[in-house]
Amino acid sequence: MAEKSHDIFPRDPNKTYGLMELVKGTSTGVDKEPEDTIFSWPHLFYVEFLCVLIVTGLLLFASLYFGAPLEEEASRDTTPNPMKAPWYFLGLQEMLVFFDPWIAGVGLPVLIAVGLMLIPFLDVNKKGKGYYTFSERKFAITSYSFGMALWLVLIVIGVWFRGLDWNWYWPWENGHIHKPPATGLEDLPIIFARTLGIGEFAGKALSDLLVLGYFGAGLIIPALYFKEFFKKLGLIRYVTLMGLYLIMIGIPVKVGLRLVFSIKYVVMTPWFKI
Amino acid sequence: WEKFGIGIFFIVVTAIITFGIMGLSSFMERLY
Repeated sequence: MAEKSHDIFPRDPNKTYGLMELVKGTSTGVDKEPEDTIFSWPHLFYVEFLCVLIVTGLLLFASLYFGAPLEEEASRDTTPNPMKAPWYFLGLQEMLVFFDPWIAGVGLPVLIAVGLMLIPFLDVNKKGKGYYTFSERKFAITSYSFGMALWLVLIVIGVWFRGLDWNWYWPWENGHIHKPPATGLEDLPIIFARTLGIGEFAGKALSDLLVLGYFGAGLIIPALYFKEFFKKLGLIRYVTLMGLYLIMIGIPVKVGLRLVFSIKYVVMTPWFKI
Repeated sequence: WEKFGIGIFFIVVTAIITFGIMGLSSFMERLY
């Protein structure tokens, strides 16, 4: 190894050399010789400059052809209906439909931010540094894509599918006609108590057990099926990763329960309701 | 039916975006 690198980079007698740092692991520069690389100028910068010109042109034409979506001057007499946040906040505003304000506005955003910060510490797959790959990081990229899609689909719904009183309006419906408010939303414990003919307390216990079972099964079953995965991660990382993962999967489940099955709350505690 | 329509819409859009990002990633790998 030492002889080889000596051949590639001949020692310059006019310079002094010193060992700066020892780094463990491989980088994209390993096994690459100087003949294997090209200079940034002009090869890279020409392409980048071309990109800058094209994007500037596109932005110029976009600004000429599309007006800014400004509305009339605000008046304290008339609050617009619906009152929509800017598009990038509409995912959060859309979550307010499905969760209580503290959970949708504080709890979940904090979990998302903390979860994203934890990714480098939970990621034990060392592949994919410095080059494009999907096949070596299938789990990571698929998981992230799903979370990203979830965030974007809530924004899409908020921007194009919410109308008066934050009701659902398909694009082919008249957005100026008021819809009757949603009725018939019921809590899961009450549905259990009514349909199964058990008491209210038993219905509550059953729905709590269901949620506990979801998290329990979600923690135990993957560990049994993917033993290598579990071993590589270790217990603490595995529980953290799967906990965040199950909460992420739980959000669309909760959205579906409300949209399709008219279920309002699943878990009801004296402190919070989900 | 509208409720199921909303449910199906939610699933379809989520799937399109998810597979879109995955496909883009796979495409970049092949290009690379």
